[in-house]
Amino acid sequence: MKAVAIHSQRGGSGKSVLAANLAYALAALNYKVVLLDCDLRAPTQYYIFNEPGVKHFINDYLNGEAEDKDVIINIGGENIKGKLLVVFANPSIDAIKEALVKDRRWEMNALKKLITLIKKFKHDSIDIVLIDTPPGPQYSALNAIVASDAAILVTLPDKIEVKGAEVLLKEIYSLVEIRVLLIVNKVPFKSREEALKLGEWVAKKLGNVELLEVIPYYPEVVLYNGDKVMVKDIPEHPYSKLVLEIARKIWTYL
Amino acid sequence: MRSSENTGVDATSILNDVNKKLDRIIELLEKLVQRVPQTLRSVADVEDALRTGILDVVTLLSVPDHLRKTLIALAKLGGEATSEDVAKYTGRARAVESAYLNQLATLGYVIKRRKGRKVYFIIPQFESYYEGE
Repeated sequence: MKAVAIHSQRGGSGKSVLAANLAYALAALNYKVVLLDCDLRAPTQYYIFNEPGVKHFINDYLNGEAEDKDVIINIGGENIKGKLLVVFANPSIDAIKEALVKDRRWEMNALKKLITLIKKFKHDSIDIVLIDTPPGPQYSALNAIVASDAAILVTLPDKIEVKGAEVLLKEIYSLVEIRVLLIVNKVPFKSREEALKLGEWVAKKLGNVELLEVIPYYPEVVLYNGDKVMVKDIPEHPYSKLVLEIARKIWTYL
Repeated sequence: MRSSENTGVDATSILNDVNKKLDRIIELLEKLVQRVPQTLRSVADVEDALRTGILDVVTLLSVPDHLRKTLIALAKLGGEATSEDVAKYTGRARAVESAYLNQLATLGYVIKRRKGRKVYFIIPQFESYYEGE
């Protein structure tokens, strides 16, 4: 089993939408997948999946107020050949406010509990745990990166984002010594050749990363966000096809 | 006269060499000075961790390079493991991990506990959580 943190330098890179779609794509390809929403300050997966009846969240597990089995939600669906389990972060404003004032002791416990949860999934024969992290060098993101075997760094192809990603690589990833797979997202070229050229430029600029995929900007991904999971509901869309391709080839990097 | 000219040429050459070396020393010193605040922060993080007993992720990342990989591996293994377990995880030799784990024990990050014939290294902050398992 592999644990993979999905991280970005800033918000708005498309990281959470990609995490949800990648989790779905892997489950559709017959893998047993867990998606953890560890972005407690800006929870997203709850809104993407629109799963009714969620009573317990990862916040409750990390606070010691719920057992792991209470927070794991089994996502059904006819296209899911493997298994898709999601642990949502609480989207209520009270939970977000609470997450904003957590101290170091809580974060230390959160790291322990996250590592324990990942060990449990390994024991349960899960194939891959994807962790949707907060952007930048926030505590919860660092916890997720340390607990993971590899990281997917989602970046936009602009120079500010790339400079920030350089800092993450130098100051964080190099210390943890994990493999960093790069996805350049929302590339403003539809032509595969032009998009790849830009992706390769970003990868070269960053160094110490492996270019996993380059995804063009598709307005439909933005328009349908919150109503549809692209891979599930519009599998013929080029975005869905690229995410399925990532789900197929990611194993050669892990 | 010819001799003093020669001496003059040699002296200039030597002075140029010395100058280059001084430039290099200044360059290295500047780099070192730039790292001082970071190093002080790291030391402060470590001292703080040992004082408060909080081994959070920022402290983990502040540990010296050669020990960090060992400590993170031990954390990922659940906070309790033998040097052999850690070596399997990191891919380094058991003797190397044993030496690093003992250094971590000397620094106060981990404790050693004998169970039968095996010696376990434990991150104490992780222990209370795992006691119930």
